[in-house]
Amino acid sequence: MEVKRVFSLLGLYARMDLAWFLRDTKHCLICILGDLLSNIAAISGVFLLALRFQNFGGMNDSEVLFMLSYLMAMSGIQEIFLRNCNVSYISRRIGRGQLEHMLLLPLPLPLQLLTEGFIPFSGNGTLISGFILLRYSLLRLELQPHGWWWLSLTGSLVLSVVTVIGASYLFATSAFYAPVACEEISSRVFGVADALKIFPLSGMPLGLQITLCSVLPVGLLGWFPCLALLGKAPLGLPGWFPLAFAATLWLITLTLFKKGLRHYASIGINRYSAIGHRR
Amino acid sequence: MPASASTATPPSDIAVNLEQVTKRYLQWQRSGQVSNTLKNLLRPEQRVVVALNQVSFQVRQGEFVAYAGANGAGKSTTLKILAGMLHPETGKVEVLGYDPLQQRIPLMRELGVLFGNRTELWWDLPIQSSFAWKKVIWDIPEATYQHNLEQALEMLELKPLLNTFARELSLGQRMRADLALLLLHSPKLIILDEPTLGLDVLAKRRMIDYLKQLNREKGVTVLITSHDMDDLEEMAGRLLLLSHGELAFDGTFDALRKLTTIRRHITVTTDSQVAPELERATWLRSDGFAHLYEVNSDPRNMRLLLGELAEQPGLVDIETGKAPIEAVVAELYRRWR
Amino acid sequence: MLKLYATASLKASEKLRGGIIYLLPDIALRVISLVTLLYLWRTLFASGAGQEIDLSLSQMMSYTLLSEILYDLLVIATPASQWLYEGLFLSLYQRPLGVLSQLLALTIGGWIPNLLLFSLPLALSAPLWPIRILPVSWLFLPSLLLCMMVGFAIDLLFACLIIRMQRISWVVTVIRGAVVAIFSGALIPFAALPYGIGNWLQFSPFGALAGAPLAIAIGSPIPWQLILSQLLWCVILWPLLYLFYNASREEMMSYGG
Repeated sequence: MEVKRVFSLLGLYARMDLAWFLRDTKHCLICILGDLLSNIAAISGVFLLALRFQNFGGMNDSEVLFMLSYLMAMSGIQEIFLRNCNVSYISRRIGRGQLEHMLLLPLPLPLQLLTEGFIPFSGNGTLISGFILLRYSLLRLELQPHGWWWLSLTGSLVLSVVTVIGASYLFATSAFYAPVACEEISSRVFGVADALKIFPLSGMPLGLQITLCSVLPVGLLGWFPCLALLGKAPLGLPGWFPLAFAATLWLITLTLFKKGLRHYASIGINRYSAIGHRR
Repeated sequence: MPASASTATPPSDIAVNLEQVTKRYLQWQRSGQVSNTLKNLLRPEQRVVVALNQVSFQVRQGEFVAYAGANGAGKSTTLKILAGMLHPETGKVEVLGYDPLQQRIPLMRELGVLFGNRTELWWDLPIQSSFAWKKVIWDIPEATYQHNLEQALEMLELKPLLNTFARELSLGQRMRADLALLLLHSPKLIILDEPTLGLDVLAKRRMIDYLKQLNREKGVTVLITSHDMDDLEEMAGRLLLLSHGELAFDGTFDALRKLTTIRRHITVTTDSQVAPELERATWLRSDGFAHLYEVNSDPRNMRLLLGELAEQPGLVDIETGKAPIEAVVAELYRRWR
Repeated sequence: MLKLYATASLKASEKLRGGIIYLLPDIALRVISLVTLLYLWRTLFASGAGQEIDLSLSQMMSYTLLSEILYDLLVIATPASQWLYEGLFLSLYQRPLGVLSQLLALTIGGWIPNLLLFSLPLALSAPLWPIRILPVSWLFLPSLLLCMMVGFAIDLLFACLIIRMQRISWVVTVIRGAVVAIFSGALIPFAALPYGIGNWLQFSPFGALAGAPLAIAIGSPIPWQLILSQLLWCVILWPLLYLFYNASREEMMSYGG
């Protein structure tokens, strides 16, 4: 995959997003505001619990706020790069028979998936607010991060996105075999991740912590990387564990996804629904 | 899965080559009875559907070919195989010299595919954004893009709609915009699956005229499916007729007519509402002074019939016509059922 | 009634006939999610949190388990918003049945697979956890009924809002999801929220959803007040829905077409 091509396509989708912003400014602003409100609502419950109970889930309220703002920034990155065209919710495209649209384009599928979800203008509300909240939480923690720390933070955020997308794609492979039953499995993965990633896992039984950092890796989305960034990597694991996990997860996902694609090309999906296509 | 290899194959004058292609589907059968719940869960019944059975045909570059068949005959399966979306169980497929599965990407640069019930337009953007998007994705040179765009906008009367959101277009407008989008990269072969579906007379006419012009002037190969046989006859010089997954006919529309008992029609107008009795033609119906007959189109028979007609008193006009292709195909479908 | 039953059972079988095995990943995700929540409360109470709120650990566990078992009923999501997004609302008007009854049938039909494959086994296995799921008061039942009525009204009001917003209907859906999840009390009991926020939220329209019946099920000291509040919201929201729905009807038709 040519790097130049990736950037040229990202530029194209950025222009298209800008076109939408300029032509439909009112609605676009409402979307940004909507993202912001829903994200604030999503994290406020746990933050309120952290304020009420000291040492909630083994973390103080400032640490919990840091974790929540990290998660918000993570969602922001995901929204900017992968939200449009159901790129994150890939089971919808598979289940609705919409992969066929992709097969008509003279581009490799990974390149299409990597670029067509890019909406830097209409999807930036969460990332901006996430970074503002992140900055505030660092002030509360009285941390004075250096260059390397910021680099680690960026890498961690990207890895968290890669991990949740990997989980979504892994479960989405079932949509190749059962398009109707599994059309929404990706949204279920995100639903569970959104519901669980906001809880600090410190103090929970070791078995559950390990499960949530492996089988259902919601702990690797916020809890683990945040503690690692604060110098308290849990479970006695090294800070680079999320990287090793993401690599393994994607290896499994790619293997199964390719198998699913072969099944798709072999029997097709006799179902087509236009919902959400390029909308 | 279609791979993304980019090895190009030297072009030949064969645009589409299918050899002994077979494709079967398994369909799960589940009854709604409570007593079958366990069976449905553990050992659901399967039914094998043969979508294509040993289908072989070739389409030469520059041909305009109609691909028809009753519902479920295997048309869309063929088109999906040609577009690299499905792979055949057995047999060989070559499109513009490429293997659609292994060389999907280079093939897509030269192929245009349009499914009538789908759109490739970006829903929430004006259609010109979709055109600009296509230019980048297909790497269309500026001059080619401008030329093709101008021509498509002109021919398909899309200029006033350029700034309209795709979601706000009527079905006919959307189909025209989709066709324009399809043609921007100067495809050598276009595959159209029921492109006239739901179009009004005028919209259909515009589309047919433009497709004919493309084929005639630019030598674009066209493979088109439709259930409207009159449209197909107007456009295509050759018909491939599919029945139960098998190629039942490959030839011209006139050759198809010879397969059926439905013959040439002749309308005789007289000054009387009573239809004249003709020895060499079978009376079908009368509409006022116009009387419709079916005749054997053998030249000798036609000569004798014309002589017989010349002797008829009160003859006003004679109009001959081919047997309606819809009736011919309907009889064939019935026969093959 | 038979027609509605036919509609509901068709909706239910849509997913079930695709193969039950393919519904298992979804169920597995829900189970893991539930186990995590239960352990979270255990951990929290082990650190002495129970002293700060008026709930015992067993009440908290019952609350969470019941919420999972009855989630579809507690936070109603009808196909209305989705169908509007698809532009298919017209279909409902083309059938010789009331629109509301069809929505009701489709919603209930949509619950069946989860109720059969997730809620029922979970409820039957509750003694093994061991967590009590039987409500402590019979008032739970009328409260659940009112909760569903308020839920339908709120969902359909959101659907009307979506008609108004048209192109950004998904934003309304996202906001609804987030707001309802937090402010309905389905995830976190109101009693656990700080600064007395829960005291206000439990009497809000969103609080009339999951929060009220669940609180009554685990022994809220103010069951009658909660039920009265639910009743009040029913009385306010249904006429409001009637007005809003009629006002949006024309737009709905043109959008649906």
